[in-house]
Amino acid sequence: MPDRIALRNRISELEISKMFKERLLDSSNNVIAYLEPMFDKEGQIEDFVIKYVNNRIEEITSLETKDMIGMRWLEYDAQNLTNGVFDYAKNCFTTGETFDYISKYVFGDQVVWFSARLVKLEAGVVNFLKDISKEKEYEEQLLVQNRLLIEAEHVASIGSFRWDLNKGTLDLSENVYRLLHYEPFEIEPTFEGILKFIHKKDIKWVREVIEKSRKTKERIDITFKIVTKTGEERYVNTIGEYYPSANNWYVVGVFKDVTKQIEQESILQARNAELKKSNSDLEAFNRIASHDLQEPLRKIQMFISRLYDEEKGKLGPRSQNYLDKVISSTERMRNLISNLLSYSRIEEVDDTPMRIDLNEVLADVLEDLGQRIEETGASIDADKLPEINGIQFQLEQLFLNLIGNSLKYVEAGVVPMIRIKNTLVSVDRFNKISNLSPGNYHKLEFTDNGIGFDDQYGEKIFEIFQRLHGKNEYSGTGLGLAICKKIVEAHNGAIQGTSKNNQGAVFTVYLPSLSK
Amino acid sequence: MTKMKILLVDDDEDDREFFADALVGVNMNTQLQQLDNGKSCLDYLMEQIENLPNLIFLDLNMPIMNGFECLAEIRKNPKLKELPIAIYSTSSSDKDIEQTFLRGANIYIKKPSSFEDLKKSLTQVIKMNWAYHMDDFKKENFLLRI
Repeated sequence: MPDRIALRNRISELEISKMFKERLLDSSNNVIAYLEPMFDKEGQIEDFVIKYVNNRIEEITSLETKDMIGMRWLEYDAQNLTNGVFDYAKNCFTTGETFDYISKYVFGDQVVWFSARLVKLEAGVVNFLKDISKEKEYEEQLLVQNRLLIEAEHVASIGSFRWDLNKGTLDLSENVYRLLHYEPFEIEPTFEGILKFIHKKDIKWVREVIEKSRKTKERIDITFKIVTKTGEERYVNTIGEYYPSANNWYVVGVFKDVTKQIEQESILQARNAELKKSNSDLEAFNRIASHDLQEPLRKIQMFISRLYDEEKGKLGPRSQNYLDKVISSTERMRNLISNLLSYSRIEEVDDTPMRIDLNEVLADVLEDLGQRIEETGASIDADKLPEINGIQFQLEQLFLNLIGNSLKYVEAGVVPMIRIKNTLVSVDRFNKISNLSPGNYHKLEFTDNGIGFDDQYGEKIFEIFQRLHGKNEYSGTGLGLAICKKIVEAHNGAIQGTSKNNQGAVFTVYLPSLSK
Repeated sequence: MTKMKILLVDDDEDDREFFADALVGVNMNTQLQQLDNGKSCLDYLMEQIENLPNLIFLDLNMPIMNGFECLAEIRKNPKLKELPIAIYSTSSSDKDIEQTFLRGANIYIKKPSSFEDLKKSLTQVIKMNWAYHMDDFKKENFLLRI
């Protein structure tokens, strides 16, 4: 009777075991194997026999259970020896202790990671293996990305942080430590601890900003000075955003070393201020000098003219010659001063631009030059000129200087011929002229038959005090064309000069058209 | 013809000398009084209220009281406001010139740099002033810039 019961029990056990084998075990998502040890002559485990392995192995790898069962474990796959799993299994069997581990297998092209457990069961060990290849892959990717991030932070001089508002703890990226001249993770990162690096001049307002933002949860974006471990002062820009979590807030953000930018910026600012100052100094000096110089000069001329009146005819030829030279020199000086004065005044005109008819400007200027034109017999031929927006007296000065030059710089005995041509041009990205902004421009070409200039001086002639001729050859102050340039530029135009020696000059003036 | 009484207010001694000499050269029947600042000009005018000059030449840049202030004071005073005033200055700044006309100047002369020019200017101004006093033209037309 007990035999029968035992037999029945045994049968049902076997049935259950079979069911386990074929159904339950196979439907597990883990690989399950049963291994029985083989002993050598000294009684040491030399290998295991694979007594059982479930189907799951076929799903993960290209192995087949029927090829495995009954095989010697190490003979079937020597990787178990090299990755240490054989040793774990031996230990498990001899000590009876359950053993958890992670192992890696390579099957052909396939790399499989298992998180596994070995449990002693009767005369062998059961090996449960969970495929964690996917997780491992993500982990690897994460590692790579982390490494990339660390690299990127390093390259960009950026460090990142995460600040737990409740605990006051800080997570800092490696580069934050480096920015402070520490080795990564060398110091304990706390909020209070990190504030100690802020320069004492900045700490007060930085604290205030942070305190305020803690209440408002507004983004922090501040730049302050820090003092590093080595005592070096650096500028750091800190940006932080508040993020809520359950019952807590985090600030996540970056530190960026902006020392270079700040230094360059301040150098630039200083240079700009200097430039502005020296510019306005220069203009003020110009104005004062020319105005105050005019006074004594006027008196000198006055006295000379009286001297001339009174001594006329009484002077010897040498003295007469000296007096003539004094007169012409003072005249030169007066020209120079009045030109300087108008040069320094071009930009400070308060007159609002008005609609100006350039035909009238030309007529006025020709009238002013009437005597010279008559003396030289010059001919001036002009197209119909446009109306533009501008400052009357400046445009008169422009025409006066350009036409005056053409009358002045001619070979002795040559009758000056001046032609003024007017065309409309359009400046856009295909047709760029000087640095004019896009739009329509009147192109006024002043062509003469004078001595011209060497084309290599095309730019130079517009610079202040550039004279291409000896003083005695042709009278000039070296300011005429500089004034022209300043006037044209004040009218948002451009001026260019071209010439070949002895073949006349062409001065081209571009002035913005009223039709945009 | 009575003498035209001319008052010159200028702190620059040389300029006063040029002026006086040029006025002689103009060869017209004139009588010149010279002062060297706006304050003394006002004092003088108040003293001479019954015997005012026919024409005042007024420098702008002067100590104690400058020409702008002096001009404004004269135009404020009902007894003086009709006096013809010629500004006589070295400044060629449009702003200065505009300011003086706005404050009631009749004439603006930029101090010339030759004695001949000075004589020409004075001749022109004095002739014009005679015409004005002879009622040959209206006061609002009595504006001149040299």
